[in-house]
Amino acid sequence: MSTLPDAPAPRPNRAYRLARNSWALPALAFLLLFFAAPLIRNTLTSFSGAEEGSGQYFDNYIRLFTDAFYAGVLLETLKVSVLVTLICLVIGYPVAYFMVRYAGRWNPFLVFCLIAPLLTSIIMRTFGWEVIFARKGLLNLFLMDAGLISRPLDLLRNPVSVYIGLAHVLAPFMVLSITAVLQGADRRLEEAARVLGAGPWRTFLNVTWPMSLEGVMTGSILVFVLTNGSFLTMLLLGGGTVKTLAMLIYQQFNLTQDVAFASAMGNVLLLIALIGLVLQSRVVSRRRAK
Amino acid sequence: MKTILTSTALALALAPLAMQGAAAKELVISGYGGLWEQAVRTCFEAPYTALTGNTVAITMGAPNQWINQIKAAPGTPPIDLLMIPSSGAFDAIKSDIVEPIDTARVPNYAEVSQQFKDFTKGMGSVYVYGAMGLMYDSTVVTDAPKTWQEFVDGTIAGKWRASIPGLDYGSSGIASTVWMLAHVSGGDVDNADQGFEDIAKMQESGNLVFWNNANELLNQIGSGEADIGMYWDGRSWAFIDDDHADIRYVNPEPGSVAAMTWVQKVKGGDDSAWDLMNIVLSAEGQACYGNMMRYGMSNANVTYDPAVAPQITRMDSIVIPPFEQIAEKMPEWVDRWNREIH
Repeated sequence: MSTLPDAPAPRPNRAYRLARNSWALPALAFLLLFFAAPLIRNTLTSFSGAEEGSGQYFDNYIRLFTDAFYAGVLLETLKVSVLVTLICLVIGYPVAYFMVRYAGRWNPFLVFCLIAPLLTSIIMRTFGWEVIFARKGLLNLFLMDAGLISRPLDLLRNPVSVYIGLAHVLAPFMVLSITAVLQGADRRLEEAARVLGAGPWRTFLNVTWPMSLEGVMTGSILVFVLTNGSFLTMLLLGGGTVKTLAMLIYQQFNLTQDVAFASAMGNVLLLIALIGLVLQSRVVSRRRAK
Repeated sequence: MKTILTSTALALALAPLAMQGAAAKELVISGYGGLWEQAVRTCFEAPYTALTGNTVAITMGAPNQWINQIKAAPGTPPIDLLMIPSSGAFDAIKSDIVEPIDTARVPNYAEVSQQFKDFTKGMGSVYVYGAMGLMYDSTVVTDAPKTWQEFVDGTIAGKWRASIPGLDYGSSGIASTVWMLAHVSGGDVDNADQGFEDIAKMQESGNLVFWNNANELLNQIGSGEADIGMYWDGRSWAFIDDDHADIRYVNPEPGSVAAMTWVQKVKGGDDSAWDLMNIVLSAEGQACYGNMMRYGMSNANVTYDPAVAPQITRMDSIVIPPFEQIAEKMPEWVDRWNREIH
């Protein structure tokens, strides 16, 4: 006579956990040692440079915010970052939309095309633009052959070439961020809007755009922060015509050895990035709360 | 048993070699890679090894890096001999990490040209110099400027598109532009207004661009961005010899700014660094190096290869800026350049 097997012992009434908190210690130690400690050191350095006993620890920050030239550079840094972010959004959103909605089996190929430029050195890509924009470059030769201009245009070493170069480098970050969110968007909501009489634009503005806003925010913050710290493209394509904090930080280390002032500038850049991240996380959490 | 005997015999046979290896030292010098390393190994290390049995290891990096490494290990420096540009050499002196030249250990120092001795004051020696003259495309610039003033005036007049070192190239760039242009107009470190004004005027004319890394001018000449530019003589000649027959090089009057590389013995470094320094300053070693690198050498008795000799900027065609004072002025000049030039 067969007997039924014993029922398995009941599982303990607690959530299943793969890892313990202590497993995070190595990563935490690494971050403390190589991220937090240098940041603290950098902050302390930014308050140095004042004469002994003068108590003027904020001199570097006061100089940065009150001197017309440095305040102008700070504004220029923000302007470049905002403009490049907008350019990447305008270029990137349609590409992301096309990839998600229409690319079908071509989608992996398009993703590869997007990522391919990121696999080459930023210096090589920037030199590529130099070849195109130079006075005897492809663009000038084409325009002159077409009879549209009589003399070569000075396309290199001006802000336009910097914006184009930066957008080329950073647009993939925007596209991939928006694509990731659009792929998860519920298309039935768009269909419902169309059934209820909304036109294509209204559907996009009232349904698609809000659904993709999280990706837009993520992409924007990525591009904004990366532009803030961008240096090589501005140096090679701008030739000094676009002055940002990153360029000045390089100068402080390379030429004047004013490490305290460079640290203050670095901290201001970091603060701008943190403000951007806080704004992004607030927008995302509000949307999720809804 | 057979294996043990074989191993023992092999060990006994190799013992002298191992002992010889232990006796030989590895002298650590600062420096670079590429052609520079080839020239140093061929012209300086080979005779040094023949003399002492020691070898040379090269620590690559940047002057600040080398100086910080030495300062971080007082008494046991990781570098025995610095081969370093002027700005770094002065920093090393200020940091008190280098020794005055022991002339008894470095007899070849006596053959170093006096103008370099006046410059280094015995706290090391210049062994090589480059001059920043003008490289130009002869198909566009048919009447090359003979003086620096002609270069400035011709640029403002639109005779050519010029390129000069930008701010981000570094201190030698500023010495070659701001100081030099001020110097030829009678200015000096404390009165560099004319230098800034000349650069600003050239820029306002729309005929001036800047190069910020050593290869950028070559790209600018090739792409038509510039027809003429301030550039190092050795690099210019290498470019000309690389199948660029239309490119020319000239040192305008009253001379070209010299960039010099020093050799300095590190305090606490191995004493055989003196032997290497003596070879680095020898006429034979420098002739070999100069012929390979096409730069001027500091030993007054160097004889260059006839094919290379015309490409070497003579010592009387160089101008040595007061680098120490320029270094002190650097924060002020950088700030002024940022506000006035771009």
